[in-house]
Amino acid sequence: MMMSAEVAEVVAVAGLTVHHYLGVATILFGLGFAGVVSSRHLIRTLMCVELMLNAVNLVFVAINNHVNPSDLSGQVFAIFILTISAAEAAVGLAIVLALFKNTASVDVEDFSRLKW
Amino acid sequence: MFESTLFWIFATVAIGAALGVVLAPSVLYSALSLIVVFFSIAAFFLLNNADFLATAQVLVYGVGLTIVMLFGIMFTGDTPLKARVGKIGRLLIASISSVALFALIFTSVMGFNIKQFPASAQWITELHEQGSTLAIGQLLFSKYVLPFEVASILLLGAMIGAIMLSKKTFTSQEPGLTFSIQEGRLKPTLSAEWRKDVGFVEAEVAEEEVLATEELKKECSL
Repeated sequence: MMMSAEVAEVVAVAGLTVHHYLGVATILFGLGFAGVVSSRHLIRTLMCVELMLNAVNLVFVAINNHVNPSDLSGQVFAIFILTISAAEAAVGLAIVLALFKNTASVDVEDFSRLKW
Repeated sequence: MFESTLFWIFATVAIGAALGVVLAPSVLYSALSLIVVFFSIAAFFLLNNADFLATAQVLVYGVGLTIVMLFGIMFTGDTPLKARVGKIGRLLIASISSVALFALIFTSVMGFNIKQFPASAQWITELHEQGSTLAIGQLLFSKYVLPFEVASILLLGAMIGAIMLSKKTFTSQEPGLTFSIQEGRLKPTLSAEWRKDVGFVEAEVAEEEVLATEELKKECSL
């Protein structure tokens, strides 16, 4: 209990709580979502997806450090997200390049072949 | 106080650069501001005792991933998109939906309150002196060893998939017949030996070529 009071004191002095990080992560996530919805360039859409993944990573790490710093499971989860996003970016870019080779376009609106 | 100052600096930089990613006129500028976002998130990781993850963030995202993105931009060329009707409507829908999502997450996140399990002072000093690499490695190879292996298989699959997707030509079973993509269409080419072996005259070959193209188009649904 003494430790908890000390931690609380440190946080109060720094004026920095986990909510600050959560707020920033939420803003980044929202911006990434806006980019995914509004962007017409395929590569920019991919970049905005990366932005959203990064915001989630930030939440994992901040909450891990806030709730239980002696168990680094949150950071391990963030590492897995990092792995998945690297794979996603590689496959996504390969798909973009294949689409570009076939249609000579990177405009999302040109790829409406599956639309009824 | 120092941490707080750093936080506000990096928060401003991160949000500004994220705005740049979404709103920059050229994709190249968005890729460059994405690098800034990644580096400031690495700084947030450092502020949260995650030094290993900060390094991985800089290496994987800040350097590796953005270079892949820049390669993609290089390959596709940074040509401006054709003007379309309904741009205002799309922007309106995007901003309304993202603001709604932001408000939803923000209100639920700000009420976040969970029981804390503070670590001992000894652990914190150990973490500060030795870094988190050892602890993460132990977790990764004991408690999370199965997800770790699954992730490695996934990476292998993604690598093979990416190579297959970006391959230039299709190979055929027929020895004298090769296919290449030209201007978005599959084009078969017959080698001279193959023509001689089969004994096609030129006109027949031309017809055969057309048939092969049609068939392949159907098969590959190009």
